[in-house]
Amino acid sequence: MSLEVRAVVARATRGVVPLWPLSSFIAVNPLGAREAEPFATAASFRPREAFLADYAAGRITDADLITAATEASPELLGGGEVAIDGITWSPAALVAHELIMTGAGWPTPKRSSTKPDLVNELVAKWLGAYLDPRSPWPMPDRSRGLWSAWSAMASYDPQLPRVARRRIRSLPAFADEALSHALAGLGLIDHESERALREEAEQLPGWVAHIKWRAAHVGDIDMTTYLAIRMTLRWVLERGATKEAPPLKFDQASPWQRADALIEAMTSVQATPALTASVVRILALHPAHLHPSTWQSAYEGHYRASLGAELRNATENPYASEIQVVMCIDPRSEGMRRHLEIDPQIETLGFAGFFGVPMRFTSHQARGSIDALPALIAARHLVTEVPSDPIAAANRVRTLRVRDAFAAGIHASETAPAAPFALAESVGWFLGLGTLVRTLAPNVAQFFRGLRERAVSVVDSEVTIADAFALEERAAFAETGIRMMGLSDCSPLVVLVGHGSTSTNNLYQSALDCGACGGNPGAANARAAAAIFNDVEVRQMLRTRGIDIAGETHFVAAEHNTVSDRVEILDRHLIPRTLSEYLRAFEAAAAKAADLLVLERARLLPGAHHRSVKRLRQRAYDWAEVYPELGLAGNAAMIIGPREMTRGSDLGRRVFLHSYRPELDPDGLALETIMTAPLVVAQWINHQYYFSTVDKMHWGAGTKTIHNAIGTIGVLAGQTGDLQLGLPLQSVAVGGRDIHEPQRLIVLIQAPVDRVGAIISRNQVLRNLFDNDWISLSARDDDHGTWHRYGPYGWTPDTHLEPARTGEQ
Amino acid sequence: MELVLVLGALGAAPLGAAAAAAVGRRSADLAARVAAVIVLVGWAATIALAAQHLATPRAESSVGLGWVALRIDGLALIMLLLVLGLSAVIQFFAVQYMRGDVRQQWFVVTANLVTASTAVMVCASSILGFALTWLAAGASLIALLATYRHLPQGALGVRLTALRLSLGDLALMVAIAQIMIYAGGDVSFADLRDAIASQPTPLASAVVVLLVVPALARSSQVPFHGWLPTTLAAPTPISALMHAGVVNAGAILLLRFSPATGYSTLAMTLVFTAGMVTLIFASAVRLTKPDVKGRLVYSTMAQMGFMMLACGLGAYAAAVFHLVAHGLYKATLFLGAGSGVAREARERAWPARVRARAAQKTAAITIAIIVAVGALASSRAVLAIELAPASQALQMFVVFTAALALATVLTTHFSPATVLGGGLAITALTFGYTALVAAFESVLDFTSSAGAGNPWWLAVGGITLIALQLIAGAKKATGLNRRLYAFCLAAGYPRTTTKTHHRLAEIGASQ
Repeated sequence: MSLEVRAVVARATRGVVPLWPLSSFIAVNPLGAREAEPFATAASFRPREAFLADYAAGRITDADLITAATEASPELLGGGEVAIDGITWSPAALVAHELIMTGAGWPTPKRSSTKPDLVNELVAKWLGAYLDPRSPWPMPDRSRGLWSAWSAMASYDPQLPRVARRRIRSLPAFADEALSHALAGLGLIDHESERALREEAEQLPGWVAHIKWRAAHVGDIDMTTYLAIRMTLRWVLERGATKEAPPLKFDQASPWQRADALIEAMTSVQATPALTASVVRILALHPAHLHPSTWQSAYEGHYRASLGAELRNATENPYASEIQVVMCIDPRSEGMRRHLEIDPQIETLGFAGFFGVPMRFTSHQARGSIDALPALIAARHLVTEVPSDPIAAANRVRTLRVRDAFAAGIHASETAPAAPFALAESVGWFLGLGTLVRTLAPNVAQFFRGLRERAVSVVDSEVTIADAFALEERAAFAETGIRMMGLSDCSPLVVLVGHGSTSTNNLYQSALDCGACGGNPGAANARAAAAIFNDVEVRQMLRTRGIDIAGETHFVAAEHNTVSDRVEILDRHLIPRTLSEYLRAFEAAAAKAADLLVLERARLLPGAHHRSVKRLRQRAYDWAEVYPELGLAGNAAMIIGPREMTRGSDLGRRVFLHSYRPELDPDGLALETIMTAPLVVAQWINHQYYFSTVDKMHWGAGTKTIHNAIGTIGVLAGQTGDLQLGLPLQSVAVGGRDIHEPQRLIVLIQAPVDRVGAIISRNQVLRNLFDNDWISLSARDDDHGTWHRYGPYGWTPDTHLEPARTGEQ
Repeated sequence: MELVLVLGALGAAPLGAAAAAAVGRRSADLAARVAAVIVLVGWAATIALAAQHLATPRAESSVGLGWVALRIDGLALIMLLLVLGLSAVIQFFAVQYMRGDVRQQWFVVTANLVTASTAVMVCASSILGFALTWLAAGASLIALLATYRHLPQGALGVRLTALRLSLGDLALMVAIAQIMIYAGGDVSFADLRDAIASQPTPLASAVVVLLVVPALARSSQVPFHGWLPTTLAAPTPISALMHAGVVNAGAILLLRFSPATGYSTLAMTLVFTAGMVTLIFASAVRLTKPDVKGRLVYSTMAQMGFMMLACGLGAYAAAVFHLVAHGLYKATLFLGAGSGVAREARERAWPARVRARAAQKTAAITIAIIVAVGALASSRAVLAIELAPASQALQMFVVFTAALALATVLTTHFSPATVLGGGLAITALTFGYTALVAAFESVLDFTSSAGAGNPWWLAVGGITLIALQLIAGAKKATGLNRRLYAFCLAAGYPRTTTKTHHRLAEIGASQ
């Protein structure tokens, strides 16, 4: 019985995509479970008004619409023009005109209103109480698990009617039994129960998604228990399962109605039957249900063409690779790399920001750890650090203990029922003063914070890679890394730059950190990777595998702060003196790049000062700032290939750049890894931004201004309700204006096209993404080749990326 | 000169609202900046006014502005400093926090209306002036809460708040009308005692009880408490702004009307009881809230209970002292409600705690009690301060908190640094506390507390709160524990009736 119930639950909740906690916010495609379906049927598009506004602003042109329409219905190329009011229209142009003039094919704007449901309110209440990590009054019986705790207490719940409470007193001891019991009580059998459970699981999408994550990563809750509680409540309340929400209504006009509407919009003259017939014939070639996706293709096609033009700007200016800088594939690195390369002795590369070292990291003597690795991998190795000066380290620990003790004292007087009154009376004055200073003079507040931070001495240390990973493993990491990023000849100085973001009073700070490091700053991984690459034994082993890293080459770890754009060198004490000249040169170039990049970003940053670099950097410490930086907003493409493809072009911080050189990857394994890991992660990020922008209340987290956090689990919008999914409004928009352009990722790969095709056909996840139009792919063999787009009929020349198109227009 | 400063202080917020309304159509951002600067200037004027009053000691001064008579006394000055100061800072915060928000202009205008009416209210010298500005503050609060009326939870909050507050305001209007009819016109607070005394006793008692109702409703006291938590659907700065003379206005009303209420044992007992019940209820509910703002809002409710309880004991100065300090405290915590993730990340790198040995624990508790009691006793002796008995009773909370905080510090880490640092901090805070309470008592001279409750009643509250702590900390779940927990947890959510469901559905459908 129990196995059967669990199987039904698993089937019913297969479509749920996990929601990561705020403390390690990882981007996911909220519709990830539906990638086996075509994008157009599984997903939603921007509202028609948004497209029309872009059309009015020239962001989408008639030519874009015509191209998109012919791509959707190639039959439109087959001649047969019509003349209306003396103007001759080609079929594609007429279809494009219909897109602009009429709303055929769009869902009717009125939303189906969701009825408030007592079951939702009750489970939201109990889930919050059960999952709250630092409750001053932990839920009684919490240690016995959710089902035991809930069933022991729900019979006292004053929100339930007496009859319901009496029924709860005699529930089965186990959740799966209770679920079968409740399903039977509700009269649901076999296939009905799966449908009913699926509908229940769709009720509070945020909580359900978090439970899915938590079941896999913490294990103190599972989907069966959750659904057992819901179904039990339905049963005891004698409220049957919710009615399925009516599907969105689409304007299902026939081609005749569409033709009448279009002609009426175009001319006041009564149309002849012959004209109407020929318009009908044309419109029928492009059915109404394609309209939203054709608009979206036109929107993306416009960007695709401009990306192609920008790629042709790549210069072939010679550069000397005196210093190599490896940065994360994150689009924000593109700006930094572009500005660093102003210095001709710098070469930059792109690689996933965890630098191929998946680890759990805990700093010296720390109570907690971070899982600094991509969501696709499970943490298996604990890396820590050994201080080089034990006495200084002991001092540091002592200072932190004192600080911890005072924090505990304040915490205790905040939480004890009788204490907060006098606490407020005595510390309120200081907090008030602090609020005044922090708000009116954030830089003064930052000065005092700096004093407090400097009171804890920073101790030099070294990460313990040798304890965590066997030599074989370390060498494998290094080899994979080198083959994936195509790092052929190492310069004397190679800087591995991770990235992190500093913001204050920001619940979504982790969404601005490095996704490849599990939503954490990338410093620890950069340090570990540098240690591995500098390891003499590792280099020896690499030599046996045909990779030669010269003896004088040294890898240095650094971290790029994406708010200040400053690059901080890490583990300076480990850098040999012989490199000081290179290091100085790098730091000078980085400092210059930082100022330029901050000013460049200021152009899009809401409310930003356009000249003062200092004030732009202050945003990191300003507690009122809801736009410390724009994160990955604007991301639209991913380019896999050597930097020569893009060096010198301005990609506007919108492109994931992964370095790759086919010649270093004879068997194509590295490319397969890139396409199944970093590419998939980039797609998650892309779709998270897409859906958070397209539906800000449902797939996005809504405005930050009413966010109300539950520990570091997630946020509520207001007093109660569902956990919020996705990114907050302030990540993708300013008020009613979108900052992020919701486009599906355009992937460009420079590698043997046959190899790319073979990799796709081997990997179901890639076939789903590309065949169903979740993202698009174009590839070319080398820099002399022409771009070919992957499609249902194989590879076809990419008309957007190649310059021929501009000639046609 | 004084008139100019008063005008500057009281005119700032209305001017801010007007400027924001005028400029807002062009740029909400500009409107927000202009209004914030204007209110900041108003705050500066208040500081100058307060300095002038301190330099030339006198109890109060009356300022006439046409037919409006104002009373600028210690209470008015303290409240003006709090209301305008907090409002200005919160508005500067909101310039960035609400940037780009489609409702930013609405927020700025209504926030300034709330500030404007509250500022005039605390300076009102007669019952009619007070009542009118009180009603204006309530109405503009409803408008302010409607900032996010397009969200279902926001709309529900507006409705619930409007309902609860209008109950209180209705009682106030009846009471004011009765007094004015009996006295044949407006009554200044100075003459209020006589006006009430001249009425027949049953009628006077009824009026006095009616005056307590709006105070309880505005300060979210049981049984009118339901509205405050629903305001969490409004943007964070609004939750902070509640503490600038909005949710704590109940005490202002009781203080101003103390010539009427202070002599009535019935009214004072009512105030004390409502405060005590709210204090215990909200403290218990707060313990079960998982969300950061939920904890803060129930904490505010409990703190307002504490303030009311002080009023009921006739410890008016202590109530105002608490009102101001807590206002600053809670406004800060609300504005910083987004820092939980950063705090966790920071504390993750701290060393793991070491369990204290039994001997250390004993020493820690002993030291904590000695320091806490010693600091309070010596502060009273050294500063040679004579406090009212009610204030002295309230200081038991200080001793308890100081001892608890220090004992926790020392059991967490027992070292010379924590003993010395903790001991010094507790001593300094206690001395500062005593000195400040004394300063408030000297500035705020209220004599009308003949009907005040007995300070010993406080013991009931103290014991209940400690019992609550023991129940919440119990290792083993008992029937009582489960029952109480389920009750408190349910009490922390809006009561859901078919009617609210129906209403929510309507709101949802109209979106």
